[in-house]
Amino acid sequence: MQWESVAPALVLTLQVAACSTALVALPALALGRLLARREFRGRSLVEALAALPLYCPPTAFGFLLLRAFRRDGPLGEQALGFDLDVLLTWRGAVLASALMSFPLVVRTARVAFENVPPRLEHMAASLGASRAQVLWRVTLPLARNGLIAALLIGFSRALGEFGATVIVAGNIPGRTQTLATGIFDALQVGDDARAVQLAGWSALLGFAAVWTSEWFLRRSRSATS
Amino acid sequence: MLERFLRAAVALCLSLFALACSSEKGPPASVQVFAAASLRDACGDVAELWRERRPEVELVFNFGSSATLAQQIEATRAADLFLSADTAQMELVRKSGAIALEGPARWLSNQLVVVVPASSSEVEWSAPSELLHARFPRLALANPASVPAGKYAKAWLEAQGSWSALESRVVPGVDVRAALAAVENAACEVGIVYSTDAAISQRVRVVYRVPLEQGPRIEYAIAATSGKAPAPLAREVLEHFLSAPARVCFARRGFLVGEGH
Repeated sequence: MQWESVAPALVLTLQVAACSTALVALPALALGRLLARREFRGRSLVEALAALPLYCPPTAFGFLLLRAFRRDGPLGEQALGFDLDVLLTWRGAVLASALMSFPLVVRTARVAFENVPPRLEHMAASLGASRAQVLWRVTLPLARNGLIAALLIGFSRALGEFGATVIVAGNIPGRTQTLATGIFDALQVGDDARAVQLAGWSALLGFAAVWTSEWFLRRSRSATS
Repeated sequence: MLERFLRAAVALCLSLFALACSSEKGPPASVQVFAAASLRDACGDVAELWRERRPEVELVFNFGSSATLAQQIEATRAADLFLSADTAQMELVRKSGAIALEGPARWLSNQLVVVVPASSSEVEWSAPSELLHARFPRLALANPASVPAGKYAKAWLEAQGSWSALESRVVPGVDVRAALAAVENAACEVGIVYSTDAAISQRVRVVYRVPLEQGPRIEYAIAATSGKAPAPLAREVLEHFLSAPARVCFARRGFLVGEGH
């Protein structure tokens, strides 16, 4: 009987975490690479800004997104002329999770890129490889395990996102209710059995994702050192 | 091994994405009902009746404090129907221009009760002044600043002249069901909720019923709002909620059902 009420939250959580990871992947890996290899003006500012979701309460970001996407907000229906349909939808949950997992992916990716010996990249370049070729043939293959770990860490952070998600996506059973917001809802109505099930699934998924990422991290360390 | 893992991961992401996109177009029609937390169980009964009548149209419920729901409606226009626990929140929605068709005034009413954990040795009170006793250091209310159930409770305590003494003991909940859960878990020694909330819980006991003539008048409001469902469909769901069988559902859950409409 409980399964029917748990399954939608479980499926939605996986869906949101997967989409969030896909959304974050390119910009976060690019920024990780930039921070690993380049010196530029305002670098520390970029670093601090990118890390903000780690130190700022998720509710603050939820509030920010709510203000931005509400009907009369700068990204709302009245300003754009059409409805992005972010608030109280699963897209909002994706956006919230993506924002909150971004810094973790950037940091882990940055370490993965830093662990690639610059010597090998220079050698490839001196042998006539273009910058794209160096990236594609040398840097990415060498950093691969660390980058996969970075994405998995982002995925696990997205699995557990609560504070921003509950504000932006709401807590609508079967529509926007994830494992994290579902636990809160179950507690609110005193349905402890459901809360236990949801918490169990959260722990299981989180553990699986983090454990796999640890495995990749260990491989990436042994491969590059 | 790695290649295979990467490919599997990408395939998983893509299939989840496809699932997401397809589920978006899944049910042909749905009506979003934003309802006060206190209506949760009664709405379940009414939805059951609807499923028998129109199984092809899904009713999607969003339960919360009426204050939260009103703000969500104002921000998104995602609701097709709004069931508010007071008229003030309905007024907010009206001001934002989101109301399509309003239901009858005094649609439903309710009664405030004082509850304690079922395990408590408390016996029924003869007077509400018991609340002031030091054996109740924490009083669970729905947030009296915004949530209707909390505002009603505060109004009653003010009328009793005991609000200023009790204010510092208040543990505010995000909605009335949160206040109920706080007493259920014995996180608070005492709480004030609707009699309908107390009725659904095995883990609390009513020690005092606020006489209807002493408490504030509790008025639920209902309206079809301009959401994403076609207006005639939203109106049909509104009528369903006002129908005689639905009123029986509400009455059975302990709501005081208004005169005909």
